[in-house]
Amino acid sequence: MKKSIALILAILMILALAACGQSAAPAAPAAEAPVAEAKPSVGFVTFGLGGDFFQALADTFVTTMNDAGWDASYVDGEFNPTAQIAAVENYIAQGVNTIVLWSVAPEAMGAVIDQAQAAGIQVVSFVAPTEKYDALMLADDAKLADALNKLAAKWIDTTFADAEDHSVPVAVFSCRTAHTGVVQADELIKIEEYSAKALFVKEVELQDENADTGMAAAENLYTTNPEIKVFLSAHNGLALGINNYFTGIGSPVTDYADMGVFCVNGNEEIGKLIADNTPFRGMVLTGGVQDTCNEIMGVVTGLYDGSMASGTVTNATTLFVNEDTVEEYLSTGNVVSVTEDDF
Amino acid sequence: MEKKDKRSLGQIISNFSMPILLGLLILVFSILSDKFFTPLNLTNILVQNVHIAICATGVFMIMVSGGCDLSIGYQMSVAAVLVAKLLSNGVMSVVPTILLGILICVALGCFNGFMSITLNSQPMIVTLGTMAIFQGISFLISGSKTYHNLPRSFMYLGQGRLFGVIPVNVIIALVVITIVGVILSRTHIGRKIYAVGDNPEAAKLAGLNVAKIKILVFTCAGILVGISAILLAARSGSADSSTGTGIEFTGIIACVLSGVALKGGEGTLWKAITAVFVLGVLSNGMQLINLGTYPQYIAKGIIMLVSLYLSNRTAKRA
Repeated sequence: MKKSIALILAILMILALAACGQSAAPAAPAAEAPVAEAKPSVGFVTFGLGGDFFQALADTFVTTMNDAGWDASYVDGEFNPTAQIAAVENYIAQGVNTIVLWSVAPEAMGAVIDQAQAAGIQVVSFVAPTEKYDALMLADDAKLADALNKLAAKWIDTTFADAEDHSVPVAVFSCRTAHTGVVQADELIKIEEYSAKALFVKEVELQDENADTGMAAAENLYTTNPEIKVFLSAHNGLALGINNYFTGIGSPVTDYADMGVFCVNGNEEIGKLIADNTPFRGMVLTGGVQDTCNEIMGVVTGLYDGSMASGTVTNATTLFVNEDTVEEYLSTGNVVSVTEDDF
Repeated sequence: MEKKDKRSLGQIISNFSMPILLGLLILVFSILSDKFFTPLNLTNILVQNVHIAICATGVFMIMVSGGCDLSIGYQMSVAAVLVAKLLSNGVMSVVPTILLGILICVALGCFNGFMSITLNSQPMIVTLGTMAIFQGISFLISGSKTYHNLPRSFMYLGQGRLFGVIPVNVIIALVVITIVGVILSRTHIGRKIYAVGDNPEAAKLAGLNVAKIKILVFTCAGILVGISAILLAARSGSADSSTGTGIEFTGIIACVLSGVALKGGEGTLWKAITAVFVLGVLSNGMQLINLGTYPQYIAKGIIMLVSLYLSNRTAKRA
């Protein structure tokens, strides 16, 4: 009996590994049989996986790079610098041509980037600037939060045009367990500098970014501050939770005309909520997933064929999604009709 | 006489450590925030924690039988995303979908029990492995998307009020936990579960089918996990692959704080449920008094140490 079970388990394990090998995230083989035209290889060390955006970015990266003639793969960074270091070391061992790295802790990656570059591998730092890189694709966390403040400020000042200055109460929902969360929360609490009508009342600090945590926090906040109708968050999960509370069956609010929920790095689902009759009014994000992957592809290919100089820094575009631009976003995945200059 | 009185007082404190701690926390937060001890906030605490209480009941059953299940969070995730996906896409109606969600958790729980027995390994280690499997299944189902636009009739389970006052999810939790409590404390099968956890060898010699009972416990815990997942998704109005994850640790912490023996065979359900609400009151109260994230971690850790000290006083004396 035990031998049969052991055999079944072994077969299942082999099948599972084979299935993983067929998936969008295969590890690049250590050595390939020589072919007439060897494909260049690229590995993407993600920030982490487990959210819509991160997973979609990783999957789209592989598809985009494969379509462009590369042999692409990604590894889960697990929101953990140690996991990322191991991932880069593995890619070095595999001999990839390029590594795209979205660092959780950029300062921790110096030594392993040195190793990669010493091995002749080009390193593209994505979003988080490492000390060394062959190319840097910058998305400034603080700038994104700054952009959200501008988006929210425009809505607040328009909706509450007749209100006294600094009389519209605003709350910020934050999760300060990662550097990005800290930087963005510190920006969002400055909403009064962007809006003549906004009054920053409270920052609600939470221990995770899940929607049910956001919902419970919104419920608790309503107990102490029912007057707060505008909510900003750097975390789309928390913002979704706030929205879920106010649109739920037991919601104390049925008229959302004077309510606004705004978040950084939303997604298509949140876009649909913005288009619908919900308190969600806007979000900012660094480009649609496909556009972002196209940009990465351009940088990786440019470095590889020499058309892009080593040390190049590019800045991510920011998409402003609100009721005016949400249809454009949902249909094209991009927003070109409105830029930061419009705020 | 004095010594006897002191010992009695000590025993009372140990036996009722959870309610005493709960009372103390309520008192402290009521003093620190005038919004804490209000019907609205107290109801909030109930509705925010009943799904955790149901889940903790499942964790309790498994721990009392000598096991541990670290995959419960992802079992909930699988059920929640499957139910949310089916309902938001209008594939199935509410009742069959709910039953399917619960059945999925039953199957996953049964799988855990079966693997623990077959592999003859510590359930904690086995469920570390199955946790990864269930995580993968959850993401395969969800495609990393969030599902909302759930039917109102479904959301009523997590957000509705009977007669406009009594939260539906609280009633469901009360019924479910009471049934489990009665089974564990007043039936033969309940006594067998404790016996198996206390001393599996002796239980086997006494003629109990230890393997069958352990698999049954995991399976029944699956029912509770499924109900918890349904209530959580209904309350949230949405679900994704992070729904429910980590909840098993809250359940395990609550059980340990209430004095459930890690080796099994000991534990009182009502104390574990009280411990869930100790953690819930702490979380709610800390937000109401605007305690920052980092002090919250410290406060939580201190309360846990105090709970452990109070709960384990009886064990030491024994």
